[in-house]
Amino acid sequence: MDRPKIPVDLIVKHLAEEAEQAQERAQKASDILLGSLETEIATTPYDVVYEEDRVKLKHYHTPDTVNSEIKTPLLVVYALINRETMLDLQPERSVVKNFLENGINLYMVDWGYPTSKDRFLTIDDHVNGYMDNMVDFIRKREGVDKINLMGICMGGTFSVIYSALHPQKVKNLITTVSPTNFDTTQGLLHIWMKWMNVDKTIETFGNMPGDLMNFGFLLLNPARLMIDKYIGFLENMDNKPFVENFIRMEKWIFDSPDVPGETFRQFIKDCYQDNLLIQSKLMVGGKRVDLKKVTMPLLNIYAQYDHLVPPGAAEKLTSVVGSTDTENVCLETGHIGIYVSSKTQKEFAPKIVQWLKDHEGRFEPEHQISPNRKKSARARAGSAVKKKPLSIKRIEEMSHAGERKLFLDNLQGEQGIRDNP
Amino acid sequence: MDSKEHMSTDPQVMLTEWLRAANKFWAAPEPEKERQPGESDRKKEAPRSVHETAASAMKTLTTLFTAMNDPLLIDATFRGTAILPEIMESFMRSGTKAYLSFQRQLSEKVGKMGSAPPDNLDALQAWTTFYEEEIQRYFHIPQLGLNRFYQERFNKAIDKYNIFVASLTDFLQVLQVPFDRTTQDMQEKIEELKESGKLPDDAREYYQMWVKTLEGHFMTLFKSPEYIEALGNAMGALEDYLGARNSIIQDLLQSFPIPTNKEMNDLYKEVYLLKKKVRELEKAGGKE
Repeated sequence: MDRPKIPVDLIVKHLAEEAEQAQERAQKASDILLGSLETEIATTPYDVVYEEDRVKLKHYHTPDTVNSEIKTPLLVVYALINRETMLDLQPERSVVKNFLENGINLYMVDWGYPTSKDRFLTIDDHVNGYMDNMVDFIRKREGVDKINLMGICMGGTFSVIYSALHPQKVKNLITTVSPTNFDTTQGLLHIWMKWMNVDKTIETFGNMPGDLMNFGFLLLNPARLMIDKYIGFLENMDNKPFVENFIRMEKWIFDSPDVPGETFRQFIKDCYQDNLLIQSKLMVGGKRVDLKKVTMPLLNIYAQYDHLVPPGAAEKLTSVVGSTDTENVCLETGHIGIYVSSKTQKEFAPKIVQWLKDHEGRFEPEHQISPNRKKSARARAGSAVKKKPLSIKRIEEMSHAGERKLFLDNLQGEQGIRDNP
Repeated sequence: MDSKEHMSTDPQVMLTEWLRAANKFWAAPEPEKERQPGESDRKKEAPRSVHETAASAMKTLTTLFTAMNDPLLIDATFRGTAILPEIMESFMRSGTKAYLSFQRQLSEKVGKMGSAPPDNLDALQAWTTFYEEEIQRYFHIPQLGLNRFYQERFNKAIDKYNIFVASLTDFLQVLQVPFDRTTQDMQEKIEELKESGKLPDDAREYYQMWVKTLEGHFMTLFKSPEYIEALGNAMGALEDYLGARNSIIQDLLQSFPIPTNKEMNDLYKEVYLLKKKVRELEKAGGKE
């Protein structure tokens, strides 16, 4: 007898088996959810060494056993969107911990939670105010003339602006998934921001509400972020480490401070809509941000599948700055995966540590640097660098290809493609 | 007054008689009370003052009634009464006309609401058009009087809320499109798999197929001008509504002893500018 075209019997059999498994899973899950869970984030010890208004400067405790080759302190500047706790989400996937274990003297900016009174703060106040004060504080505290500066996403954009305006205070600059070229249609955010009436938004809300931005981020991929992510959770809720990591990520994702209104307005208008930064036409605090003044060594890291800051928005920076020692590194991951996925833990932090070691104590006047260095920077980065970033179509194709394993890894690491800055 | 006159049902006679009686009644002076021994001077003055006031009022009334009792005036009044039916008819006529006109307008509007939308409009668009053309203007009628600004702001908030609901519904409809298309695609895919005998027997595979297709349709949608327009409209309408709502809240807060948002914003700005100035001065001082 021919086998029927619709294997109803097999489907029903599998459904029955799955129902049985679901029953067992639910039983186990209830034990896990009702029991004690370790879901704390940002547990690495630190001291708050400087405070100004809502802004705090964290200084992490370096383990005594570490003998560091990197003497210059590193200041990490996070974005104003979401929180810097992402860098220390869980002990085994912590960029902070990785840095400390490699002897980096680590400072990090905590921008805090802006309230209505912060709505008039501009990019100038953040860059030439808070950032500059913190840099001065660190320089004085550590007895150094220059510090290493690392920016994350919008914090990277701020770091580039800072380095152009205060090059004498920055020894090495590292930008990670930082948008600097906004004239691209690779990411949905870049498309959507073009039409945004930011004046009206700020007039209405004062500060840009974090929840509204979060809703926008969820809309970037509702199938994955509003449906599949939670299906994944239901399928794995009998797995305690998975549940703990999932909850950690949920805690981080929905911990969204508002963005000060005037800063948001300027960022959208001058950057997303007019793309002034990459053209060295951006004005901050009455001064032009001339990227040719970014003369310190620059390491620019971005992610191949980043749909918030696609490669096209990040990679152009190295070609317009004044520095002759630049390097682009493109990692095969997403916007948040670059910091938290298990795979990139072995690439991201080690790459930065090595690069800082290479640039520690080195002083080369620009005229002594080989003109070929800039050209060979890509090659030095090895296989991680992709000369030609994937088109959005290709990214979508890969996404549609449904690499379930990668996606589940993302669920644990970054909850899918939801990649906040 | 003779009995014939007394029994008369003629309204003119009746009114004349009534006025005369009223005149007599009010004109009669109130007898002055005798002062009791031991009453204080102050108490003595009070009743006299009340009496004077009453007498003055009665005098005024008497004058009025006397004037009203003038046969010429009464005649004029009754001539007016005679034409009362005519006036009433006129009132009725204009009232009925206004009522019928209103009814006609109403039925026209209701008729428009019930009529099928043009081919290129769906129900939501038809409702939006109907609202904009027929209802919205009522919220824009200029208000009068002391409360006019409050009333205008209130009307504006209702209007903006209606527009926001319509825009949000439109946006949600647009978001529904990928789900509809995915359902269609799934039907076709399952049909193909059935034909080729490759139907999966694991429900999870169907889910994976569904979610991937859905994701694809969302990506296509998000880059479309229609989506961007719908998103922009929904955001704009939300902002308009919140702005209008905040104006009402502002009005309400004014009657309470707490600062409004606007007042706080002004204060925040002043503090911000002052802090900035102080920091600049500090830095300048430090450099010196």
